[in-house]
Amino acid sequence: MDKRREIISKAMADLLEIPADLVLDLPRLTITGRNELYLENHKGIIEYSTVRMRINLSRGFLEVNGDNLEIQALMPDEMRVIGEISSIKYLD
Amino acid sequence: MANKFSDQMGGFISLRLRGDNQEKIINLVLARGIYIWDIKKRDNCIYLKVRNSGYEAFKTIAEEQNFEIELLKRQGLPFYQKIMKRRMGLFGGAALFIITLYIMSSFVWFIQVSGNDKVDRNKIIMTAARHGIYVGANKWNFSRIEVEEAMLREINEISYIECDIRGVKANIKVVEKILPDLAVTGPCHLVAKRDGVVEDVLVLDGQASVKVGDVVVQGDILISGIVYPPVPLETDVLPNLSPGGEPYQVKARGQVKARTWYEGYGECQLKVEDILFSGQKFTNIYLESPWGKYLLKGRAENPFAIYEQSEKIWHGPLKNWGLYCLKTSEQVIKTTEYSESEAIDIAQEKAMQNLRQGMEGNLKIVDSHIDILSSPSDSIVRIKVFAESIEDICLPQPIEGGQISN
Repeated sequence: MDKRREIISKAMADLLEIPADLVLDLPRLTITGRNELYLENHKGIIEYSTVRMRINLSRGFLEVNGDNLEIQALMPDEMRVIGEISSIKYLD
Repeated sequence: MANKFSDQMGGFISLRLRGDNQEKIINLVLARGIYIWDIKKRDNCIYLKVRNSGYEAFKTIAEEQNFEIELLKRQGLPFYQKIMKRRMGLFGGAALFIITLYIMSSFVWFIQVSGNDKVDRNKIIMTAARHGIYVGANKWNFSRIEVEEAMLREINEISYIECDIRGVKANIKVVEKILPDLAVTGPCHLVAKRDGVVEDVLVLDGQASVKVGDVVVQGDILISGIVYPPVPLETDVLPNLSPGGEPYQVKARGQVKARTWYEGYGECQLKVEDILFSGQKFTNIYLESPWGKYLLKGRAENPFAIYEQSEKIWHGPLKNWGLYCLKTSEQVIKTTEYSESEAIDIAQEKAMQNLRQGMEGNLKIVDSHIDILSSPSDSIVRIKVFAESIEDICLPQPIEGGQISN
């Protein structure tokens, strides 16, 4: 059922040329250099340490590895992570 | 994203959380819509900041989850109020200082006038005062442009005026009108402006009335602007010698050089008493108040026998209050005795100066002689200097309507 709705939403987004992050609730990542990550449409934090962070998404989760990681700002839909980021991985 | 200014205005608290499963509390707080920021992990503790308004809700959640909360720092305006209350005098004084500075700077305290040469400075200042710019005037009580326009209307000798208000100083810049010389445009005679003996006559336009060697007095016509046409030299027309046609008027032009005389007088006492400054002086400064003058600095008694005093008064914005400065300088009498020849030299120099004052411009003296008026027994030497000069004595004089006769 969910998968069908997702397919229909994607088709509608393509047809009407609406950004997918609005229709499909997809995460939007903005990375500035390697020290700052700005993330929209997250679903909470699964794990937080100074070297590894796992952030819940609508589908799967995002793993951020690095050094001295800090959450500079945290709000229901958006967050800003700073620190020395070494890798960002999408995991299911 | 929240901005730091609103955080400061509302106040915020820095916290340290100790407990297990720290991600859980972050997610719970997030679900309740409490904004937290600067989340750091150090030594199994979480450091974070939360707004003052969300602190109670945060505390409840943390206690429910068995977290240990340690309050590290309170920041922002609500927490500074306590400090402000304690130091009311300081903040009140600072506010009072700023308000006083603002009020004092909204008055004109100094007026400076520049660019005037012929127009009297006091006249400009008085006119400005009538239209609103005076010492102690409120800057918002007058419009600069209106004052400029009114002053320009009132003082005819001025072609441009600018009232530049800089801080507490009003700088009035003026440009004076340059009025054209009153030149004679219509027909005119050239008359003698002073007595003399004609030395040279050059006529460019008009008819010469004098010739070389004539003695003229002030006001005599030198070159006439009324010209009679020449008599035609036709042998057949004789013996009728009347002028050939009606006279016509021209603007006489030319140059009449004449020998003119000047005299100057000078005198010198053989024994002269001069009053000189000895260099000794002192200054008294008084405070002027409605109840009298108070000596602030200086000497109460004057030790000098002969002295000169100069005073300077500075009045503040309040009437009857001000500073009064009195400068006293000692004087001594110096007696100088001159020999007769020295006195003659001095008197002659004075006479020459007196003579030069009576001469127009820088005329060349062609001849001069000195006359000693006093007798050798007098205590004063009196000298008269006579000088001769050759100069152009022409002065245009318009021809009046009824002057054409004979």
